[in-house]
Amino acid sequence: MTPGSLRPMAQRETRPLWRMAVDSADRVLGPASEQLVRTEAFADVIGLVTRMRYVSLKRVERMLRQQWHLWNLPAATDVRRLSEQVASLERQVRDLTRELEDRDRPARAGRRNGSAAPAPRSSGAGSRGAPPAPKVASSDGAGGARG
Amino acid sequence: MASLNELLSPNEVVARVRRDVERSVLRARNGIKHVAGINRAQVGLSPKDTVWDRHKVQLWHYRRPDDQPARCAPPILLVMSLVSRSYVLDLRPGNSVVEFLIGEGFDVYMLDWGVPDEVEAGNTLETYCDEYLPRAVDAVCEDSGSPDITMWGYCFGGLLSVLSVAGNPQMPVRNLLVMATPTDFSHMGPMSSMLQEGRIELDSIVDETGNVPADVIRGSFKVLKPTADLSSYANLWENLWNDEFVEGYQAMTQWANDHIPFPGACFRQTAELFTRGNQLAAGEVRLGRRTVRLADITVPFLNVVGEADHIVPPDAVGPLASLVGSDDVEELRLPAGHVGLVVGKGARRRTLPAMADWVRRHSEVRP
Repeated sequence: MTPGSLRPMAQRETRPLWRMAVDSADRVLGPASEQLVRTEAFADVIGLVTRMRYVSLKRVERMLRQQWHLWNLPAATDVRRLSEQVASLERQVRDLTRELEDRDRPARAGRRNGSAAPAPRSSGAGSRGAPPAPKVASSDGAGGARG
Repeated sequence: MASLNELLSPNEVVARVRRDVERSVLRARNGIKHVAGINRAQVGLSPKDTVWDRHKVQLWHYRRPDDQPARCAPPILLVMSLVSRSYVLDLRPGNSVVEFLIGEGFDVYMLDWGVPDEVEAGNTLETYCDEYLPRAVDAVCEDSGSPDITMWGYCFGGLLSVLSVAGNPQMPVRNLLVMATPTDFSHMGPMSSMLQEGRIELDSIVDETGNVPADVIRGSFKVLKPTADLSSYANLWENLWNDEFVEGYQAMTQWANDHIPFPGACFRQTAELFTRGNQLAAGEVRLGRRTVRLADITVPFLNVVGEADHIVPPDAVGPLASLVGSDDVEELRLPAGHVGLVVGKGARRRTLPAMADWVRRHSEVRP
C-alpha cells in the first residue's frame, strides 16, 4: 500500500479508547451546549457583552482621539471619517451611473426571439387563480425521488 | 469472536505494528504540514473565465472539457450567499457542484459577490436584487446566446434570487431553484432570536467599515453547534495519516472559517424586514418603493430543504414553496445538512443528482 492511502478508519472494527471518550463527552456536552445557547440567560449575557464591548470601544476611541488631537495629530477616527466620506462619494457616483444606465436600458418585456421564457405577468390582483399545492418529494437515499 | 490464537498470531502483530508505525510517521508529517500551514488544499480549481463584472461582483463562466458544447439548455446561474465564499460550490476536484453540473451537460455560471469594504457597506437588498442580479442574468444570456437561464440560489443567495425574480418580472429566468433558503425567520436560531428581541443593537455589531465583520459572522454560525470543533479535531487526529482525508478536511475548514463581511445596510434591512418583521414568511416584502410579492413568481420552482440542516432549519425553509405563485412548484426534502447539500459523498450520490434531475426535466436536452 502506498503511504497516505492506507485502509480508512471506517473499516476498523473498534475505535481507539480516546476517541470513544471524546464521542461520549460530545454526546453529553453537544446537546447540553446547544440547549444552553438557546436560553434566556445566554441571550442576556451575549447582549450585555456586546453592549459593553461597544461602549468600551467608543470610550477608548474618544480618549485616544483627545490625546492625539492634543498634539495636533490625526486620530484613527479622523481617518475613518475621511474614508467614510470617500466611500459615500463613490456610492453617489454608483447611484448616478445606475440611474443613467436604467434610463438607457431598453424595455425587456417579451424577451428575445424564440424565447421559451414565460410572458410578462399582468399587473393587478385577481389575474390568476390560487396556485396548486407544491409537490413534495423526499430522497429515499438511493437516488432522489421526485414529486 | 476472534480466537486467542488469531489474536496472538505473530504475523498479525507484526503487520499491525508496521501499520501503526507507518501511520505515526504519516501523522507526524501531515500534522507538521497542517500546523505550519504548508501544502494547504487548493480550492475553486475548475477553470473559468470572468465574463462580466460590476464593482466587486464578478460573473464566472466555467469552461467545459475540450470546449464541448453543453447538452442542456438554458445555462445555470449559481447565486451564492453574501456572507460565505463562493468556492464551496467548487470546493475540490471530485467534490464540486460546478464540476458535477458540467459533467451532467449543463453550461454553468457563478456570481461571486466579492469582499465588501466601506463602499459596499451601503449596499442594500435592492442593490443585489434590482441591480446586480438582473444585470448578471442579462450578461449570462449575452455570453451564452441563450434567451433565458435557470437561476440556482443557495442559502441567502436563494433569498436574493427569490426577491429578484419576484420583483423583476422582465428578467429572463426560465426556472428557479433554491436550496436551504431562509424564509420563516422565527425558526432561525439563537442569534436571530437575540436580534428579534432587541438584545443586540444593530450598531454594536457593525465595525468601522460599516459592515458586519467576518469573525462576527463566523461566531454566529459556531454558536449553533458549540462542540462541533471538538469532534472535528478528533476526526482530524484520528485520520491525520490519511492524505486524502487531510486535504478534504483542510478545504472544508478553510471554507468554514473564511467568511466575508456582511454589508451593513443590507444587514440592517435583513434584521428589520426578515428577522424582526418576518416579511418573507408573509410572502410580501417592501423592496425599493414597491411591495414584492412571492406570488408573482410564476416560473417553475424547486425548493430544496436539508432535513438535517441546523443553520437554516427545515421549519425556516419549508414555507417558501407554498408562497410562490407558480403552477409548477416542487419541494425536495433531502437527508443532508446545510453544507451537506452541496459538499461530500452524500451530495455527490443523492442531493446533486436529485436537483440536476429537476433542472433537466425543465430544460431542453440535446442528444
